[in-house]
Amino acid sequence: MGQRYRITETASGASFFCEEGQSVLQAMESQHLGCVKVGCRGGGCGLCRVQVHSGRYECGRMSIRHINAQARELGQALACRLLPHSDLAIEFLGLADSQEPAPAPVSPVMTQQQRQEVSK
Amino acid sequence: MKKGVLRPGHVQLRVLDMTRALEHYVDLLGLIEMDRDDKGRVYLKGWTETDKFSVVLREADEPGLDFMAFKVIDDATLGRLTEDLVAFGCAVESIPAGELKDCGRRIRFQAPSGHRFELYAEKKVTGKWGLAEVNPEAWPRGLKGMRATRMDHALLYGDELPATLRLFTEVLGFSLAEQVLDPEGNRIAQFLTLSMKAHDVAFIHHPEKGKLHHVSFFLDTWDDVLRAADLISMTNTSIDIGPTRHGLTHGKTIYFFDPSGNRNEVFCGGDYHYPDQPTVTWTTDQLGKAIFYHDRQLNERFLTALT
Repeated sequence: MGQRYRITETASGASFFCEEGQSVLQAMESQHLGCVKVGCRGGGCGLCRVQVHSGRYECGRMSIRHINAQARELGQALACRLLPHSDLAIEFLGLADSQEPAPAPVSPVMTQQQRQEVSK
Repeated sequence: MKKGVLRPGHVQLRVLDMTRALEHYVDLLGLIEMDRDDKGRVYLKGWTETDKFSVVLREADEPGLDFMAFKVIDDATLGRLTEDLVAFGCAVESIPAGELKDCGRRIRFQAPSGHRFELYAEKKVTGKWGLAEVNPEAWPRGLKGMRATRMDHALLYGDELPATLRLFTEVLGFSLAEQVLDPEGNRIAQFLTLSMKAHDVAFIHHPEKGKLHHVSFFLDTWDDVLRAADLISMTNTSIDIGPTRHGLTHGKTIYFFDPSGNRNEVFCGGDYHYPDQPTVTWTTDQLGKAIFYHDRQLNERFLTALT
């Protein structure tokens, strides 16, 4: 069996084990705990946002709307994409207001206004 | 169809990881990969669809819906609808033919709900996948996973539902098939159709504009929905709820998520609607039953897990 780490959610005091390579949310669900809300489990919806207070970890791909570069720097993560490499202390935050404005243009097509500006 | 708008044509979805997205949409849902383009987008469709594609996947750092498009009857209709949309107050963007492979010129506009929609008249017809055009067999062999037959509809979350309803009914010719009303008579959900289907697109009130709740794919039978649920377990795919039945539309359904967190539905059955028929109404005090007919309870995830 691989390495196992203890994850502690500080707001509720709940703690559970997470195996190396397993996401924190997956480990929590498999142990029938609910200290972090479960949404899409795919890094998209932002429901399982947590603050990591201590420990080493890496993250899979997460929607920039919910975890932007600054939030990442501050130790925020989506629990469904949070892979521990040591024991972790985390705190459930949940869905935040959007951190990013509307996404990039859907295709490289100019608006009428841009077209007029180019043709000036 | 009153204004020449035919049916849902395509959705463009953002995914965080294209490889994982294709494992989901092709291997699990059973959509057919039809093409790719130099922007890295992948074009898919359900096997019964006769046009070349109905789902376009684009890799991005935020999942969600780029736009949903409806096919119109001909290019003259596209021209007339452009004028009608401008008269309604929409900013209309013109996108040249070929920007999406084998698709004619498109016009794009934003609904008051914050969602981007497109209209187009022409797309390459490739026929039903795996079947001869003449004397077609019942179904093609070699389909994968859930064998989804077609991209059917999308449920979108946003605000300004009354103005969005006016746009879709008065300008685009949709009918209001089903609705949910609160005690003051405010409409918090509107299910709109161009056809006999209970919905081609639906909106639920939500304070943030432009959110995707789910994109839905049609299956033939309740056994197919059960089999889809089995495949969701076999592949350890993130499930939302089901198999169950909706009160609204009475469709038999299962909700689950793609690997980027976009919600999908596969469903079968459900009510039909003709334009002369009265709108089916549910009330907010029965909202749990309206959404999940058996549990009769809304889960928080239904209201908040969006992309």
